[in-house]
Amino acid sequence: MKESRISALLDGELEKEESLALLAGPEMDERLKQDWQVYHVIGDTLRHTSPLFSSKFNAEFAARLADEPAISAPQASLPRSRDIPSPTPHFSPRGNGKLVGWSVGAVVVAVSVAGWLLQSGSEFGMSASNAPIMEVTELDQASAAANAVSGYLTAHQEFSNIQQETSRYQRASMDKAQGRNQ
Amino acid sequence: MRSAFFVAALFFGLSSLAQAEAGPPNALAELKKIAAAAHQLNYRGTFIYQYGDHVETSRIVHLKNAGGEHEKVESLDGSPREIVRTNDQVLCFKPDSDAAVSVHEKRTERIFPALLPVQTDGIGDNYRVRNAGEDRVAGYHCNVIALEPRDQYRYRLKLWADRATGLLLKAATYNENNELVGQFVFTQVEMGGQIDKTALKPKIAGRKIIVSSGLPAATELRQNDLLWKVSRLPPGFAPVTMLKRVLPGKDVPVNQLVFSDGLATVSVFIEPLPSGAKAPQGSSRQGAVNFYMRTLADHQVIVLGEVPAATVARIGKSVVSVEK
Repeated sequence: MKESRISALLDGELEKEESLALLAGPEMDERLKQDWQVYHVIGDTLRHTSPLFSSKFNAEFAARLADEPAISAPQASLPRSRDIPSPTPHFSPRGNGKLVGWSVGAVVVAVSVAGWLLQSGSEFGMSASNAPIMEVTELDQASAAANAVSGYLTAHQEFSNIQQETSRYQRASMDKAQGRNQ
Repeated sequence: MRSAFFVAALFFGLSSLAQAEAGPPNALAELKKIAAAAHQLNYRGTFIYQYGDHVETSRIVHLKNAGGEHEKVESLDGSPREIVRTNDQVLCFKPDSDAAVSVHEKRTERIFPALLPVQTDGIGDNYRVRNAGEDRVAGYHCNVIALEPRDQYRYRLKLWADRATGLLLKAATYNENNELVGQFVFTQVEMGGQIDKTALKPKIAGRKIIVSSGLPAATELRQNDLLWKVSRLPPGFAPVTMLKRVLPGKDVPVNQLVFSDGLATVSVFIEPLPSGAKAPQGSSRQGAVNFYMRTLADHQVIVLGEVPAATVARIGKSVVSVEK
């Protein structure tokens, strides 16, 4: 209810007295102030009139960028002292006189890293091969079991850096659930 | 022919020797650079996120200015979805019906390429950080950094960072069998330059805006408020937060305990079981995420995270009720 009144207020649909009462009243608590701010950001964003990006800002930003050549054009502004690898294998002198090949070298390193990975177990002597074998069920994304955990997955993702999409079916049910809460 | 072979062998030998001497001291410094670059630079590009047999494509625009960070991530496949972030405020835009767009606020999630925590110092405690050579991603020359877990409780990571700016251009996670679990890869990216203000606005613009009221209700708890405790956390994992929150479709609030080693995150959900209800048990996996479920004193315990099955199982088995 409060939200729809805030929305109406933003859209200019409330009478003046009603607006003032709402703004001054006890309803305008912390939570509503936050919502008010959110509505403003959304409104600004959707109306394409975001005050965050005024023409003044753009001019200032352009000026700042001009002062930062290394960031504004990383390809062109690589320091000359750094050897820029070419896509073909080559030898290039480094400051310390080492010889470094680039693309073939990269392959060698990739192979040797892979080899090292295969050889190395953990510090506790538990390599992958002698770790206890666990029974792990692969959840089909469309299954009822996957659907049952989708809410937890979404709640977990607020804190993690994975962005695994819940499946279409799960999304639909999540969206429906959110809609019910509105 | 023979001399060509000899030259090639010599070349391989020398280059691997040179790489081996490239030593780890600057690998940790490179991590710092990677962590900062994603927040400090302007960039726009397209990246894919792949896990299992799924591929998702997103477009990202990121602007850093005096007002902080401004970012838009637009999902290019499936249902349209845009995330607009202004510093810590994250708004998610979705079309609701023909004429409406639904907006809801989210907690900040670490969005690629900002996968690393700002504070990278503790990473070396749980992972061996080493240079893994050079590569090319999206047309840029990259330094490759490998993060090898020091035990079996976390996945192995590999990071590809632009040599010039440090921007993370590719990140891959491998499981204990050295199989790819998931990866983010920029297919195209431009760094620096001016970001047009229109690029940061959601395209999903409807006449009517439906706003869900801020964040879903959640209360932060302290360990003393909890009837539960994780008694044996794997090394390096520390509590991030403890919440009492309402999840969509659930009648009763659930407890969510979040733990992280700085890179990988695990959530523990604990909720009362309706009497007579039978809850799923055991380990399961979905994409990069492992689950472990069990019941404990008429409650269901669900542990999940982008970590090996052994980690969620160890955490789940170690949940105990606390005597009050």
